[in-house]
Amino acid sequence: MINETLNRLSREMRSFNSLIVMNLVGAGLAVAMGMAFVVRNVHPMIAARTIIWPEAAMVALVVAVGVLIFRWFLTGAEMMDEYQDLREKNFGYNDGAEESATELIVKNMAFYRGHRKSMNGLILGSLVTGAYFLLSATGQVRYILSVLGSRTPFEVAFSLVGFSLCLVLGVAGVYISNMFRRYEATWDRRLQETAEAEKRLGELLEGSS
Amino acid sequence: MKGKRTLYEIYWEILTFCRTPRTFTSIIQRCSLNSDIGQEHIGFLLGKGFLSRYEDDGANLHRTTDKAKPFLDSFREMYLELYNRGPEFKL
Repeated sequence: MINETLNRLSREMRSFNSLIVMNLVGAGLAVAMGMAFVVRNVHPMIAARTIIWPEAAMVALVVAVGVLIFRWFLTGAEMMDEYQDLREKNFGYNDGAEESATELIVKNMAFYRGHRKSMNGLILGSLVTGAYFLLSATGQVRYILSVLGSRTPFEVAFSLVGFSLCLVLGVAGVYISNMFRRYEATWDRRLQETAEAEKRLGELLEGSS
Repeated sequence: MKGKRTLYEIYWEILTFCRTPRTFTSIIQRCSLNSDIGQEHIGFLLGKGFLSRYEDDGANLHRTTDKAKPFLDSFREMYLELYNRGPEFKL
């Protein structure tokens, strides 16, 4: 029984760690794509020494969204750092399998309580980014269809790579946000049950004076 | 241990850590408590008789007593049970 609990904990922690890594990669790619967009659009303005509309407005929008995405990236990095600590640090007082499992549950619970708020930010961040990239991919479909016969194979391939990247990032964003929500639901239920356990522990402490 | 813990989780940590005799400083370091809060919690557990304090080679040591066993057992059972109940999170 206790081995099954430890295995379950190990699987859950591995899954959550993968989720954090995926989230970080997604945020990193979104930041990189945003920067590429800004550079590509600002360069002609610098060369012409004038502000070109509507590109300038788009750049401003991408910079504003980019700040949020960068914050999302930093939150993800902090979360990953703390979760690595949680996975790797052994406190040295677990003298049995049951103690080890309890220690891991307490650590995970404390981690979840501490990151509940930022997790909501990650859910929103990945969902918005996912939706943005899906919309962007949808917008590119028409362009790709229009250039299929008229451009060189290299240009078409290049457009297809851009489209695929947007599609993958879009799907990943929606998937990651969904997984974070599922993680929240799992731990929210456990937290609710902790409240019940606390009541019983309180009674036990009261009765032991 | 970092993060937000409940009072009972902190008590559990202190009591589990003090199965081997520990100094006040090592307890607050390991359990990530500040001095005042640590004093408060340890004082509470001493008052309940869950911890005992004694001097050894000039060091003040704290050790978990047998009286704490029902609390530690119940805590462990409840947490293992609530964790195992319900669906598992996986990707």
